[in-house]
Amino acid sequence: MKAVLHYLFVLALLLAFGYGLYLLGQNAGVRAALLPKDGFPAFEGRRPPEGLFEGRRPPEGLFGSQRPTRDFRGERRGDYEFDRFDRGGGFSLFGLLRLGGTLFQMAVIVALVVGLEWLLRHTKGLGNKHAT
Amino acid sequence: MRLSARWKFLIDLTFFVGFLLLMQPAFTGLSLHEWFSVALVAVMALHLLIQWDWIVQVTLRFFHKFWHKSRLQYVLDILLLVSMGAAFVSGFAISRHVLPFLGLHVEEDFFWRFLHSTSADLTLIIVAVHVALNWKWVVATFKSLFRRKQTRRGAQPVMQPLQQVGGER
Repeated sequence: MKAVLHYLFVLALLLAFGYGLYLLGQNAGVRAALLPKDGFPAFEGRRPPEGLFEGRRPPEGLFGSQRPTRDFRGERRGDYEFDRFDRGGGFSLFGLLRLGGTLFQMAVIVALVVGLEWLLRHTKGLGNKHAT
Repeated sequence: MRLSARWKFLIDLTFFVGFLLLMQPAFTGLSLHEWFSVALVAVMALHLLIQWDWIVQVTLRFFHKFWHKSRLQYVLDILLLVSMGAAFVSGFAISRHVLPFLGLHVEEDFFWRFLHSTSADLTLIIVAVHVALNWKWVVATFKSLFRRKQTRRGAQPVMQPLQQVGGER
C-alpha cells in the first residue's frame, strides 16, 4: 500500500512537472528563445527554396497551403511528415531497419563514453558510482 | 522502494526497449507511438520510484562530495528528465490519437513540433550517456542473473539425490 501511494506521488510529481513544461512552452518569450533565429518567417509570403521543407511541415501561415511529402518510393503520403506514420497502426519492416539504426547510434555513444571512462579510470580515479 | 536486482533490471530493460520503440514512429505507426508514450510515462515513474532513495540521498548531500561520478550522473539525470519531459509534453501537444480519444482538441502548432523533434534527438544522446555511465551495473546485473540461472540448473543433479534420500525416509 505504501509503495502504491509512493508510486502515485512520483507519478503526480511527473505530471505536475510536465504541466509546468507545457505552461512554459505556451510562454511567448520561451517560444521566441527556442525557435530558430534565422527564422522561417523570413519566407513569409514568398516561396521558400525548393526542398527546404521537404519531409517537414512548414511553419504556420507561411503559404496558406501545405506542401505534400513523399515516402521513400516517391509516393505522395500526406501533407505533413507525421502523415507518413499515421497509417492507422501496425509495424513496418522499413521502420524496423531504422530502429536498428537508432540502436546503433546509441551503441556508438555508449562505447565512446565507456571507453572514455575506462581511460579516465586508468589515469585518475572517478570514485565509486553508488557512493552518495 | 526496495526491489531485487532482477526486477530493477527488468523494469529498466522495459523502459529502454519502450524508449527505442518511441524513437521510431516509422516502425510502430503514429497511433501506437502515442499510446506507447502514455504507457512509458507510467514506466518512467516506476523507474524514478526504484531510484528514489539514491535521488534523495544525492540531493541532500550534493555538495558534500562534489567532484564525484554520482554528481555527474545526477546532473545528467536532471537534463534527461527535462529533455524527456519536453519530448513527452510536446508529443501530447501535437497528439492526433491520444488527446482526441480523450475528447481534447489541439491546434496544429509548429513550436511543439520543433520542440518534439529537437528534444527527442537530445534525449537519445542523453539516454545513451546515461546507460554508459551505468554500464558496469548493467553488465554485472545481467551476468548475475545469468549465473543464478546456471547455478540453478547446475544444482539440480545435487538436489536430486538429496530428494531421493528424503523420499526414502
